[in-house]
Amino acid sequence: MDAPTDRDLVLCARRGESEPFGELVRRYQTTVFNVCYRLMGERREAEDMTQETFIRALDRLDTFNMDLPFAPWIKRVAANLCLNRLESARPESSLDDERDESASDESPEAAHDESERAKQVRRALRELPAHYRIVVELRHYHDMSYDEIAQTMKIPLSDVKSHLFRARKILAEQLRENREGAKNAKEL
Amino acid sequence: MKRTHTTDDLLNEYLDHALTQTQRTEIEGHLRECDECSTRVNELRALFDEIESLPEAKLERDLSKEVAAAANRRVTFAPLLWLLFAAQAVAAVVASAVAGWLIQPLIQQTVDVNILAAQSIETLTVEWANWVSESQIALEQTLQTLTQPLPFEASMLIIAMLVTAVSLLWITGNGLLITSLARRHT
Repeated sequence: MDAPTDRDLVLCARRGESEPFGELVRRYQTTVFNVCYRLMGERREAEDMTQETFIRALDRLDTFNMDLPFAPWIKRVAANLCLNRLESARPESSLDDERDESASDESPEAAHDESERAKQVRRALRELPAHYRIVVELRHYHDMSYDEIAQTMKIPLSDVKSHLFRARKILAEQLRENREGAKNAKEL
Repeated sequence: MKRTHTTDDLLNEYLDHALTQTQRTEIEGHLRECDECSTRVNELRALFDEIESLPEAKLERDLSKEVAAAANRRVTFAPLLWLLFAAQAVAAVVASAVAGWLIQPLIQQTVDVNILAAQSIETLTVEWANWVSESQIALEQTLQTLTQPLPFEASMLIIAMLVTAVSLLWITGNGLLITSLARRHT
């Protein structure tokens, strides 16, 4: 028997059935976790935000447009929740040293390099101001247009562009510095 | 002729597919001819790739059970919430009735005292008016004001409305507090 589609699961969940919603959680928890992890930068906090995202989604399941795919919607719910949390001036916590997964057919050295690169990108993202981080998230990981980002963040289009372009500049500088640092460390 | 380079903003918008077809064609023409801008756009593209190729972090535990438990807590909390609301509403109605019942004799008492006081003042002021005949008219006017009966029914109504308004505010305030507590709880 074919697995139920997201649409079927949402319909059942809307009727108050808990198991179909559980299945939706299992399908999208890693995706949602990654949105939260990129934005919050800390694993434990990202897990909490992932849970909160699904609770919020359950509350607002009636607002989900059944003609659209579920993944972008749940990712947007997660991003909005993280945005609210980041805006509520919380003290910065330390960055996790992530064990980024790499393709299994890579050599250990290549896998190590890729893991290092991922770690550097995460660190660079984490060091961005929150309002820059969120536009990067929405543009690069949610593939939103400038207009959609402006609507989501409730900011003018000009701010979306300036935040995004400055964020990229900072990221480029940060990554260049990290690479040079790593290169110097290798040479020593 | 001095060559005008493409701005960083335009390069960003070009890679974000936010330009019109005419602008894209214009920039692509320029990039074919300008090594400097071509290098800059390639660097920016590499940055895009680096950001977007970030591997997915692994979620080390299944959160579905915890989400279900949190959702159930929320569901079981709801009837309790309604029960609290209902209890508060009943309490408010009872409080209004009791307040009205308690206040009625007090109002009657206050009115009696007012009438007695007004009568004493009447005697005094009449005597005093004999001594000071010039102010008699003014005092009589004062007397008239003092001896006017209080609007009992209107007072009761105002007090009952005040008690009801306070009760409603109390219910709403507590309702908001409980709701926010419930949200935090879940």
